[in-house]
Amino acid sequence: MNNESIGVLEEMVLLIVMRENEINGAEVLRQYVDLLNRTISLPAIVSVLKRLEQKGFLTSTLGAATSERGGKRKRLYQATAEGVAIARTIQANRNALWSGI
Amino acid sequence: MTKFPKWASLYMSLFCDSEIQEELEGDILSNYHWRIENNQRVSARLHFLRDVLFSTRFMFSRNSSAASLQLLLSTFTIYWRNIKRNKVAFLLNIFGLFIGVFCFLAIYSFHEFENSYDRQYTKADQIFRIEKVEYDLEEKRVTGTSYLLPEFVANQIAEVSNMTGVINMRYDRANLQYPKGNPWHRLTLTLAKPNFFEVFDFEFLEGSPDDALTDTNRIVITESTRRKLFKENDAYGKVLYVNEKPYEVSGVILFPENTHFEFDFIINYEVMFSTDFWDKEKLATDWHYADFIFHYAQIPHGKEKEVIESINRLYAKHKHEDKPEADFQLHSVSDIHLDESTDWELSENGNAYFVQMMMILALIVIVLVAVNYSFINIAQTSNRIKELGLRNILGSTNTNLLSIIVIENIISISFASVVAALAILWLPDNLPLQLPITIHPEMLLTLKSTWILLGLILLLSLLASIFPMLLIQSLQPILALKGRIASRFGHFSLLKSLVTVQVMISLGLIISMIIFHRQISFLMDKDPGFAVQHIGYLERYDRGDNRPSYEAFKEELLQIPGINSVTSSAQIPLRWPAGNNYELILKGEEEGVLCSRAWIDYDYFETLEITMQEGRDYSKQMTSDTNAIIIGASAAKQLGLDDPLGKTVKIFFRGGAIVEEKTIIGVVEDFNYRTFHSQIMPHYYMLAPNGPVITINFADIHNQQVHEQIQTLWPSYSPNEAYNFTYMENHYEKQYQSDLAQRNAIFILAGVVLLLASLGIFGISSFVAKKATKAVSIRKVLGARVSELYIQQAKQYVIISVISFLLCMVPVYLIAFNWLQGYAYRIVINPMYFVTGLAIVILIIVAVVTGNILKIATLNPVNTLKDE
Repeated sequence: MNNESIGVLEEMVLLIVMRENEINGAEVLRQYVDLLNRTISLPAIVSVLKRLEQKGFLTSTLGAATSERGGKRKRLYQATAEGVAIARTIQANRNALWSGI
Repeated sequence: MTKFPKWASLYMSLFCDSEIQEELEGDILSNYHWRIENNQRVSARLHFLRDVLFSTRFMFSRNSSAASLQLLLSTFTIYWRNIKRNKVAFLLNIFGLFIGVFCFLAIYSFHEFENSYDRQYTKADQIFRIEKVEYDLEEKRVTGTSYLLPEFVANQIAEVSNMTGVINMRYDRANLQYPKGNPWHRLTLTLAKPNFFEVFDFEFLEGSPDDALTDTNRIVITESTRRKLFKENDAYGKVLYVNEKPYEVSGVILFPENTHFEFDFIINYEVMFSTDFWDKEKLATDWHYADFIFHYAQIPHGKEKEVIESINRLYAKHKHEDKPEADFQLHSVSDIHLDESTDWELSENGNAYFVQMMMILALIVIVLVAVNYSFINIAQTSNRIKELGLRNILGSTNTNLLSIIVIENIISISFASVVAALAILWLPDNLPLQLPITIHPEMLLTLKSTWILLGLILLLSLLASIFPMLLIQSLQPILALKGRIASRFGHFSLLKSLVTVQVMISLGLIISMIIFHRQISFLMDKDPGFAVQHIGYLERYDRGDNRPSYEAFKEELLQIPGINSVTSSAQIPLRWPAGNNYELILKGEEEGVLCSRAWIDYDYFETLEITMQEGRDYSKQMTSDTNAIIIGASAAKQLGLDDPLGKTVKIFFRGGAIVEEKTIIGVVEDFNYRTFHSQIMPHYYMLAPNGPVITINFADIHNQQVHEQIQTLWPSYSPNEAYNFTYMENHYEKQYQSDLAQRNAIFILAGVVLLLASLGIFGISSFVAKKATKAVSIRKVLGARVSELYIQQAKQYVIISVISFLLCMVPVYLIAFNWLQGYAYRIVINPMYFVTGLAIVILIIVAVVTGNILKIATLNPVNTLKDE
């Protein structure tokens, strides 16, 4: 088991990535805004993605450039096995806690 | 927006890790499009801006490559080492920045203060002063309006919600006393309509605005008056005496400095009209009677035009036929301070032209500071050219190098600016500096000012980075490692033109200063027509019935050896009532001359040493002198009198109130009873013994023994008043105070600009000298002497000075010429002023560059030429 801890925002972003097969930063932000009804700045999202990647919960590949992106390539993120595992662990811990209430 | 904007890209390349930059830019742009598609145009833009700005979080992020972080950290280290190595250059740099920012902030605070007048009332933007503009004898006069205006307006003009009136009593101070028997305080009074505080809601420290002026025996005093009279105690409800009449204190207000009112206490204006002096019936019916009241009305937005039209119609209906045409105008209360003064203005107005000029100069100073800082920076950067070349070879991109320079600049400039801001906040309270403008630190503590300071730091940093940027652009690592700067930058024509502009501005300021100084000295040295240096005056306003007589006091004064003569008058000789309100008309003629008038006592002309041209002075032996008049030479001339003695003139008050007939018994030479800013106006004198101002002519005014003797006499003749002798010379100079302040302000700024220019030229000359080292050495080898080399190198700076001189000559001449037109008595602009200015500037510049030139000229060519 990976010993890295994970924060609430990191957990949210990780879950959003897990919902999709492949996703880039801009789409994470859209989903975050749509699902949670909160605003956040893009650099904040990207820095969380980078952090998760460094902790080994995400991997990324460079995608294609589109005109919508002004000719810039996108980076696509995927959850790793460790990422999925830690999300499940957190959920299991939560369920255990809830069942006692 | 299909492409990522360039500015944002540049910003991100400076402050954001390059690894993340591409991805982030793409994401930001795609989100922008997403928001646009969802029809959130504004929000899309705002988010875009926010996302770009916040990309700085990747500057130090853990993900950024170790190398770029290392580079940043080493920037600080090297910055620090550089400071330690070039202490002098660094201090010069910081000093220049400090002086420049300090000047800017000082002037900015002054500018803000001058523009903050009368904005503190709750509805300041709706308060207007109603002014009457009359064209009388081709002369424009702006005055107040009559007593009955408020009543008419209240009945007939629904748009006006609140209206109050004020009578200016600035020139007639009153004696306040508390409790009875204590010494008097001479303070300034304003009379106001009872609802004054409804319109102008000053803060009440004691009492309440509702009943402050309801009665004619109530008085509202300012906090500073309370401190003078009551010391630590409350004033509310206490009875104090104004000119020996009792008044009950109904309020104490906090009176801010930045209002166009000037008073120490306020009384209900009905006091004035309850005396027999005023004709009650006329007050209530005549639109021309007592039209010196300044009325202030609260008018909702958009209704201004209707109000003014209604007032004009009312006036047209009630105007007397023989009166001149008049227009009414609304004057926004916040504009009064910096506008041209009306007759009888309530306080000294600000000088809008001066305030603007100072602000422009402040901006010039700031730009010069940045350019100069840049100059010195170049000199230093060229020292570090090897370091930069090495960085480049080791893989630093130009952007990296640029961010090093920008960060260094931001650190230095923030440091200097913050120190300057702190100095401004600290200085006025702790150092009693006599500055020509008043610094108002409180004006810098606003949100707006904080933004301006931040903007200033950013602007300076950007401006200061331009030249180093150009230098880096042209950097060629191979040459740089050899310690050379690429030749592309070597022409430095841009630098040359900037130096020229800079010298031009300093030269222009110095020449203006010389002209300014000459003009003011000319005014002050001009003979005012009376004995300024020999006289002084005492003010004795005690009007009690049992006061000892002036006659007895005069006799006693004349006993003192060293006193030549004594006279009295209604006004201080230099403070005659404003405006030429009296018309002298020769008997049998129609047209007359508008004059000022002074009430004087016997021996006036002897005491002031004014020469009698014809006729005689008033004399005690001649009982008929109460019907006699003495006129000034210009009045006689304008009346067209060849032989004025014995002629009879009629005197009208403007508006027709007084008609008197007097016989001319004398003509005196003109005497300048105001300042030489304007022509001496026609004037005349009338006899009124026992005036409150006692003027004394001394054999030697600086003989302290005489003064001591007068001082011992004083209490028995004026028991209630403190001894208040004033030297006429001081009073005379005070009139030119604002001129002197302007001169000094320009003097200081010229000095600052010259200092900054010297710093910059010092920096640039060391850069130029370093580049010329080899050339100079070769010449030396070929046999040139040091003096020849010196002249050859210094020549270019003299040429720059002369070019600057030619460029600034015409504009400076035109500005000075225009400015001088504002003075009735003025100097002729002498070419010598220009030559002197040029000489000063050339001397200073040559002195500044000499060290740097000699440094290379005296080097041993063997050392400088060996490495090639």
